[in-house]
Amino acid sequence: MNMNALSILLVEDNPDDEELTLRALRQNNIMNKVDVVRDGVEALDYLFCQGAHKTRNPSQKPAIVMLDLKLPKVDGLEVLRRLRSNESTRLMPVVILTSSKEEQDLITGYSLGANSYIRKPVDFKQFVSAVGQIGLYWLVLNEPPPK
Amino acid sequence: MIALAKLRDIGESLIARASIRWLALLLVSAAVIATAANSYREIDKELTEMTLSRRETIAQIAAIMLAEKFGRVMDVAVSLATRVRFSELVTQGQWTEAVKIMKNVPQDFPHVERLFLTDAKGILKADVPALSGVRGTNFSFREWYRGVSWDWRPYVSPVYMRTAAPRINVFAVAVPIRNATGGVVGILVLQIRVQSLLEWINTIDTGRKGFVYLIDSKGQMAFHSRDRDRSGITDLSGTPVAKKLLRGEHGVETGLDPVENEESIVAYAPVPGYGWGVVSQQPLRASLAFATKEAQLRRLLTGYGFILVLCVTAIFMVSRIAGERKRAEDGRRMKAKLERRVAERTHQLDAANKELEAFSYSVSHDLRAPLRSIDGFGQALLEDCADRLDDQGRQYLQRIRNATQRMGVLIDDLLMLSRVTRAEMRRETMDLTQVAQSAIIGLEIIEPNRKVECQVQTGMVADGDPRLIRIVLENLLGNAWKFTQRTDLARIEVGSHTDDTGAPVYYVHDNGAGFDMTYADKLFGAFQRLHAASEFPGTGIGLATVQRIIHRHGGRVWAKGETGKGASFYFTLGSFTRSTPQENPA
Repeated sequence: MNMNALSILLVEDNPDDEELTLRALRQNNIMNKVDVVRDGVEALDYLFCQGAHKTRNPSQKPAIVMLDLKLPKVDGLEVLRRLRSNESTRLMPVVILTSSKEEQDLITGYSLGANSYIRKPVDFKQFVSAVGQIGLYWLVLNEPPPK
Repeated sequence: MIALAKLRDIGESLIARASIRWLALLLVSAAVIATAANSYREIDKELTEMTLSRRETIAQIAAIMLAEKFGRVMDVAVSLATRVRFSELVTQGQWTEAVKIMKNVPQDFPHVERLFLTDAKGILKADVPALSGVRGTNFSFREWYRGVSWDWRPYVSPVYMRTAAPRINVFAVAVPIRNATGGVVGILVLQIRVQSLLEWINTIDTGRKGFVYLIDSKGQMAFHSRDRDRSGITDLSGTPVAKKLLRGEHGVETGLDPVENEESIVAYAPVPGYGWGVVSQQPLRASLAFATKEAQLRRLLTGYGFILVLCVTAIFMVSRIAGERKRAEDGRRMKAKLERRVAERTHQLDAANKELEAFSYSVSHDLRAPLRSIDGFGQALLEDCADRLDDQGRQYLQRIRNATQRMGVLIDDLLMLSRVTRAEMRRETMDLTQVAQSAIIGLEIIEPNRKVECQVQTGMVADGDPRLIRIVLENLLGNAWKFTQRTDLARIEVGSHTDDTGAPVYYVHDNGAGFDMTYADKLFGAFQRLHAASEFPGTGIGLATVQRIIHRHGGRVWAKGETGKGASFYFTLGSFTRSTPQENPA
């Protein structure tokens, strides 16, 4: 399987975090295509190929969604809920990548079917390590659900 | 001012309540007293009338009886005097023969003391039993003679004392003896013993200390029931009662009896046709009815007094109960008010907690994001532009990153502190030994090169919130771990014992850096540190978090230590720890 053929969807409103995440991915030699959406509405448009992403090929599903929780317009948990309730995206791997360690967010995230919950560390070196492990796990070790 | 007004209100209501009580008392007392007075009057009247009428009845019955007796004696005398043979003998002047006919009369008629015959002028001609020396004596001076000779009709004389022995009180019944043509030829005189005739009076119940006496037609006392053997005659014609009797009046009255010298009831009744009278008398105080009356009235008054006391007591009780009920009502109202206030406060607290939660969420999210940027780009700068920075520049950047990471830890610790404050408590029996062991394993994983001898007492259980107690042990063991890092043969001990009350006390002991007991009170304050950060890193929030958790359990936490010789932290988990699981409510 061509690892590079798998794409990553990064849902992140903070440009700094976006830049740092992309940097961490690069540093881990994860060269897969990364699509970035910057709020919940855009994320849903992307995933359901609607609105601004109407022309996107629905069969091109990201191998992993890195989802921030605190998002403008529609928050991350709501994005997750809609994603899980849609047949085409029901099984899509979702890693919550957030600053929050609130118990409520953890419970809601997992009960909505998040595959993983990562809290972004302040220490960038730790962050790079975490992103590397996410990439290694979801893009290399993990067998994605059948299309 | 408000307090003053309130005070005045309370005062007024007290006065109002008190005056209502007094008014009720007054009304009830007045009603009871009025009823009592009325009853008293009624009963007094009835009893008085009863007593008086009883006395009057005695007098009247006695008077009727006396009239009857007189009538009988009179009949005897008349029937004797009108015997044909007798009147013939008297007409012929054969007195001795005539009196022989009568010789058995004193035996046959027990009341008759003696009898004698006189001629129409009152000169004694014959007598039975015969007395010597009296024959021929002129008795026209006697009352009986004057009475009978007045109209020559049978006559009952007033009482007099016999001239001859026995000198007893007698009275005479004088009946004219007529010849065939109706002319008076002599007089038959029956001398009647008063005492004997009036024996019957003693069969009349005259009541306690009551007595009856007779007044003859001259106003003399002829007989006294209490003194019936007495001889001699007392003239009572001057007394009001005698005067009334002589006038033929009857009646009953109360008044001072001059003879007895006390208040008496006096009833009097004339004996019709004979000019005599009967007096029935009784001292007022001795009167059974009066005595009864007084007793009755005393009973009555006692009864009413009792009722009055009962009413007063009842009013006091009612007012007392009303007061108590009002107090209870006030208490209830106060309680409801307090409950409402508690509910309000709880609501406010909930709102505050929600706000705090939102705030914490923002802190955890938004405050950390810029830190990540600073740290991340600092690192990026170090990596990408290292060649354009000299050593000092690189060092500064590293310091920026260190500070940033420290800030991250601070934020996390603060979040922890706020979380243990807000978290819902779920107490259960937990395996403390296991928690301590897993916390130590966690520490060993982080620093596998440390050699620390850890000893955990086996079988320790505690009643508490497992998540929060885990935080407590993690903090205490983390500190012990941290402060023994410069100690050779580092040793950490976790155990428990019981205090004076039998409640378990848990402890974490180490032989590390210890602390100066002078500053023991600063240990548990947030951001309070007793060691330099360069020596032992930390935020100074850990023990504050521990204390907060222990306090939320209703327990106590304290520390003992000595610089360089280690520290011991002790904690209890509140009274809850002593209850058995069966007793715990769900």
